[in-house]
Amino acid sequence: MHEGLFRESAGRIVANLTRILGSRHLELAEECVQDAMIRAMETWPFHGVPADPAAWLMRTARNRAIDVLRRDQRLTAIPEQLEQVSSPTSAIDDELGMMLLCCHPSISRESQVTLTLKTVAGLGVKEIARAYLVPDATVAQRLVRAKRQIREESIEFDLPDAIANIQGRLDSVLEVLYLLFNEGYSLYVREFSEEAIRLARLLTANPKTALPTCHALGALMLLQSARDAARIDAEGSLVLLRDQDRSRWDRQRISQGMRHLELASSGNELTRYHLEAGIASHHALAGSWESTNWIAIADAYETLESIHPSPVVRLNRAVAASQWQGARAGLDLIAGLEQQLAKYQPFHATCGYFWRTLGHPQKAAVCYRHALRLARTKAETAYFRTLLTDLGCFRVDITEFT
Amino acid sequence: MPQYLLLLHEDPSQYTDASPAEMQAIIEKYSAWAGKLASQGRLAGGNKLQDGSGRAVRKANGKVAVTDGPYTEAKEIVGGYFIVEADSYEQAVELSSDCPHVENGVVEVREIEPTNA
Repeated sequence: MHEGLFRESAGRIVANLTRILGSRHLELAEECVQDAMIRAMETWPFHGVPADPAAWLMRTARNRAIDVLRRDQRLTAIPEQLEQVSSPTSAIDDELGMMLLCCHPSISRESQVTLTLKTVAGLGVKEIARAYLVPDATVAQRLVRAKRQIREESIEFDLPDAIANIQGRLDSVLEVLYLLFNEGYSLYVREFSEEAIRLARLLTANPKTALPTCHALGALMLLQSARDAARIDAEGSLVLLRDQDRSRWDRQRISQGMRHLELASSGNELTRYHLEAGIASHHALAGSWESTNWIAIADAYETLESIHPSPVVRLNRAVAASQWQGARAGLDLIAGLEQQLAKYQPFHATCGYFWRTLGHPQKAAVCYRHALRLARTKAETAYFRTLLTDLGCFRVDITEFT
Repeated sequence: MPQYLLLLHEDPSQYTDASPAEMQAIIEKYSAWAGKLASQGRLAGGNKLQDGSGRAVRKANGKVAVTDGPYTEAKEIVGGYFIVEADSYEQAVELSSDCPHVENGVVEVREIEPTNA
């Protein structure tokens, strides 16, 4: 069995059963999958793993659905499709349809993301809760709410071909994938970022959904994740872009990303995904931090700020600008953002970097201490500890570090 | 070589909330363990037993009485069994000790009395 087989199968089977049975039976579909997997867990240890485990799971889940429907008095007929084998292309369409259902515009963003992770990505409640650092009950609640909404508002499962305004529906799908990718990327939960990439690939492989915007998001994710192997060192500490060993970047991903970026520019639309993918491509193609095309990157951030104003975009723009205009220019650009970004670790890390470059180690240390307090991963904690030690400002007795 | 019956006691409800990835990991652990025994020629059989408490059949006042059981507590049932070949009880216990089942349940090890003794 390959890694992730059960997770992927769970997503595919739920999508398939939901298409056949209708969105109001989403919960039944999930139960059938869970039953099939428990059945596998109970019997495979004794009889061995079947030759085609994915097909076994699909068949068992469908049989389970047939059993449940037979026992249910309210339903008269068993959908014929439950007894037929689906083709691989229709399996992909099912997954796309499921994504569109989970990301339906009338569902709240939080619930869209949670529902996608649960039903499309096949993650468990505990796994989602752990990644988002929220209690299991919060995740469970979001799922219950989303499913109730689907039932009560009769939000239908539609295949991409049946949706007239696919562009409008895809907007929220892309936002969810973008969020999923960013969460995975910033928390080093590769399962999330890789799942976002897999789903984006489904979108770009289907003629109906392969819009330039989808290619742009795909490009962004591929180009950024190409750095994965270089982002953490042997000791588990964070390695910033400027210090990364670029020979460890995934060249194949970079060229795939560049191809998607090309396809993304076929329309006349310029979205944040286009701009961010463009920025990622400048980094991916640069031989070093110093030889990076900072002017182009700072420009792109400025355009990005005009279509999508946000303090985080401003912060990134400041880093780019500081590379050719100096750290003082960087500090000027982020002046006044202290309040809005008080809880955003990269803000403090960047301030620390600017102050250190300007020769103010004490001011830098104050910023790095803030960053350390806000660190969400072990890699970040390790990184800021090392920085503070280097600055001679690390005191081990401070409780905030423990 | 003496044969040993490994009875797998477990609480079947513990997996209701398991995620797909967790379930795959559990299957892989069991498969690796059973595969190792099979490659050493020590695995003589095994099966899953149907869920539920089973039936206890006994005679009371000259009549056959059937009740649910012997375990009526749903939290503890024999979910399945393996038959392994080992040189001694010690070795049978050793083979069981890295069975993934011991992480969440109990493995009862019993030597099977040879028929041709």
